[in-house]
Amino acid sequence: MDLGLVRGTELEVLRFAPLGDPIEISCKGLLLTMRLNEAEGITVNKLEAAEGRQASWAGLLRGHRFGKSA
Amino acid sequence: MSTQKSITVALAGNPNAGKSSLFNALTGAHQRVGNFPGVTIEKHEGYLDYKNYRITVVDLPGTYSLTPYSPEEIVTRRFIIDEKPDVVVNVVEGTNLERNLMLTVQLMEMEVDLLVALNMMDEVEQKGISIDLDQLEQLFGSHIVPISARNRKGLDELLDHVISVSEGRITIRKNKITFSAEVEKAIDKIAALLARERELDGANHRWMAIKLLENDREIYTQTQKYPVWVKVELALQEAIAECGRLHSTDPEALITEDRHAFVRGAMQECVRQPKVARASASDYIDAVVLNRVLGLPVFFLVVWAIFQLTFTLGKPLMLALEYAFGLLSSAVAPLLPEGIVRSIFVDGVISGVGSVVVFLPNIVLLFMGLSFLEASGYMARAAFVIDKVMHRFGLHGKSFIPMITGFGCSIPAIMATRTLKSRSDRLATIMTIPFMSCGAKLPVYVLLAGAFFPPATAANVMFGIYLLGIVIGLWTAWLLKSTVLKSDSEPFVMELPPYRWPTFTSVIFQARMKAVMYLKKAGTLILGAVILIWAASNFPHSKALDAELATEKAKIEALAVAPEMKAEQLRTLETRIEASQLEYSLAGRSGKLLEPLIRPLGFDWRIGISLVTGLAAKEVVVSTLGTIFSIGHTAGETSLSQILRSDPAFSRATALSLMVFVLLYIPCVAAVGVMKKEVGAWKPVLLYSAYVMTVAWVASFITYRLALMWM
Repeated sequence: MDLGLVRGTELEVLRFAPLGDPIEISCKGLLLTMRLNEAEGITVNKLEAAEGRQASWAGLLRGHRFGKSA
Repeated sequence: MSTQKSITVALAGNPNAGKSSLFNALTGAHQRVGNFPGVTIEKHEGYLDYKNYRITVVDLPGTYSLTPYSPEEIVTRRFIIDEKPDVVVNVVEGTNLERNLMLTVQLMEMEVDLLVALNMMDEVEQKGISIDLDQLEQLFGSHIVPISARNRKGLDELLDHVISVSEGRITIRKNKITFSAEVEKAIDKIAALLARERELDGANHRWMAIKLLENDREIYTQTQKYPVWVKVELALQEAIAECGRLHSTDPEALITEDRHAFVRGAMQECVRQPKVARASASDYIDAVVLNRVLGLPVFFLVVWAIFQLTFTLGKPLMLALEYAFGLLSSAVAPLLPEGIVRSIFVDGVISGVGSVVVFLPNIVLLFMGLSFLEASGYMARAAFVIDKVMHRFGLHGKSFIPMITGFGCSIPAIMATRTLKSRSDRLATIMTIPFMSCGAKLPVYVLLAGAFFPPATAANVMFGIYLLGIVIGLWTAWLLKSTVLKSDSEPFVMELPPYRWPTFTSVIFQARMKAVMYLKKAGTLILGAVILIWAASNFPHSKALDAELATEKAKIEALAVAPEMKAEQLRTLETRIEASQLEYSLAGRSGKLLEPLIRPLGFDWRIGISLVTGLAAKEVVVSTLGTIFSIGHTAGETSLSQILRSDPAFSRATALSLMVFVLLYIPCVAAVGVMKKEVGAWKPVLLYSAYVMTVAWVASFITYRLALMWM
């Protein structure tokens, strides 16, 4: 949450790490990483169709218990 | 001058906001590194003289927020509340305003004398971002000074502002941000309750109320001891119920959202960002470096390069230092009377200092490499790439580089764990490192594997030993993280900072800092231990053996044989006496004392002695074996490996068992010293040593027994 992931923030998943676990997301021009189990705490709504890549999707954030506060 | 006035300034800001650059630009060489009380977070403090003021600058750790979830945040808060710096300068990254201002808002809530240093203005201009500073000042109620710490621009203006604020010539308006109605109501109520408590006079009640609503552990325990707590708790519960009913969320989340809303509003009013395609150079680099196929190869290439830099480049320097200390010894020796004094100075002090200093090239080179990686932005990405593997053993992606460095030398490796933020991750990583076969263990393996196995098998044996170390190391990490260090695993939520080209001075600066720290803190401890081991191997000294040496020497001198023969016999004699002296010394006696304990591993007392002296440095095991096993052999004629092979005490099984033991038992005193320094207390280090000894004993026992059965 401290990094800006609050209700209603748009985010985009940019890529998965080579081994598949941590993911990289972009949110308000910031690049953030998180593990999949940490990302589970985020609820998203699909906002736009994936932009060509299979790994990228965009969404609205609803559940916001997240990261450090969990 | 005595007329000088003093001002204390604290620098607060997000990680990567350029706090350290500003700190270095301001204070230059006038700085020292300490620790904040109770935690192993470095405290950088420095000063500068400016216009008749002595300005002390404290660089607080980088934080995104002022919650009490990480030690950095707690340290920052406590420093601002308890030490009451005259001015708090919030360093804000101009290119990343929105997130940076989140911290500014929280500093505002603390109602301190706040100045905002808007850093990286050069990049802001480059990117065509325009910021309405006047409007921003209006909203935040603090003066904002645009600077560029890297180009040393705007620093004088910043200092002028600092002076004006501390003199009261600028009043900080201390704007308050208004939260949602329910939250405000609760804040007022709780603040009013807190104001009734006389012991909390002078405290910032509003801030405490906000923190209580945010579920702040620290403020909770602080407030709980006062009688007013009963009412406060009631008000809190009421607020939680109210927020749940109206917003289906809790006050904590509501407060954070309100802060975000405030910052977003400020951004919209004051900042114009050109709408360009966001694909910057950083994105292109990431497309390669974090690529699913190329990511791992790039990562291993970088790690390999760092390793090569540290050890391949460091080796000649290390040898040169060793050579220099050898020269020093031989230069000093004739100046002192033969006997005990000379021995103390030459073999004890000079070689002791030498054994501390030889690690310097490795440390300096490694930290130049690491600070380059850190400052360029690759470090976070390296952790991203390898995290999955490390996480499986309960470690963090950032644990990998220190671990790999452990194959060269544990000392810089243990120091490198400072990149890890969570204490439990750091401890687990530190305790994994000694199991990585360091460079000093290699000579032992080479000797033993070479002596008892044919060349092709010897390589496999050595590979097996390295592998065993890795397996036991990771197992240890897993064990620690699933038992004693279970509590707090650092979440892997972190920022990938944009790539930046590190400045040469900052890289050199970091390396110099580490070198000084090593010499000052660990060096003294190591020196003491090395001298202690030297004393143990030299005292008590047998007079009878000295006398025997003299008489035998005289006998040989008197023989009517060729000079080469004489020299040969003298050498044999000297080795024999030297070995007997070692046997007579404290180290020798402890070796004998240890014999019943190490007999089951296939070791006799002579191996015991070399294990004791090996505490000084693992390669000493080889030289001690050389001294003590050469008794009864003609020196120079046979190599040590031949001697060992022909000795009845040694077999393949013994050799294997000894290699395993040397791999696993307590690392050298230097590593233990650095470990103590980094862990911060003796108890965990001693417990760890006991653990390591147990593991070493059990593993060697199993190896020995299996080897006896199969070979």
